[in-house]
Amino acid sequence: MEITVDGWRASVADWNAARSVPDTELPPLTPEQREVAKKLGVSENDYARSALAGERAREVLLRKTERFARLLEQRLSALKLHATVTRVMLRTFEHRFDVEIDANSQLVPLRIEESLVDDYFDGGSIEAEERLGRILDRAVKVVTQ
Amino acid sequence: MKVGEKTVAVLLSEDGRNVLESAAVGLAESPFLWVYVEEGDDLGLWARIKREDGDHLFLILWEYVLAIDIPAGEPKTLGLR
Repeated sequence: MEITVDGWRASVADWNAARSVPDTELPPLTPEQREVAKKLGVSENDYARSALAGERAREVLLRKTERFARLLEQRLSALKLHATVTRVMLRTFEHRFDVEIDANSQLVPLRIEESLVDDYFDGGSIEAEERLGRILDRAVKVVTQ
Repeated sequence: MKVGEKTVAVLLSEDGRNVLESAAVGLAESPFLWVYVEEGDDLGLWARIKREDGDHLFLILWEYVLAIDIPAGEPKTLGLR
């Protein structure tokens, strides 16, 4: 199974955390990044802090995507649907998960709103759980029955 | 496309720069403003801007925005079993 985060974003907390990193611990910029920072009129440290905040946040988003992928596998199994998740990609700019499921050797693409997954994990929403179940059920049964 | 929760380079119009300068925001000589955007909505960009007296949330109206440069980055992938 392939787990991907496309793009990035950093919460206010991530951004504030990066601001408190001492200059000496900031990641070095590439010559290209230094050039762009100069053209934009941004200090190299500010540019590096933004890159650091983004990179740290991407790790968190990767874990979130992994957690969702494992949930999908569990739900498919619980629903007794003979299918496997082959790919889950979080598209951060669209706030959406692109999922690919292998059902009877047919690839089923799904697009699932990130807010639904947040409702499930963070909100503990029963409705979100039911919706996810319905989405999987409908998508997979069409090709397996 | 949602522009919130990102540090972006905003190309401001001359009027936009004047408005921020009126609000005592120190701007670089570059035409771009490098800011952390908390959220974008129908009105504009809600940006965190550091001023002498601390951090402020500024609403930059869309009418003052000529362009936004958002670093997209390369997709990050891992394999799972």
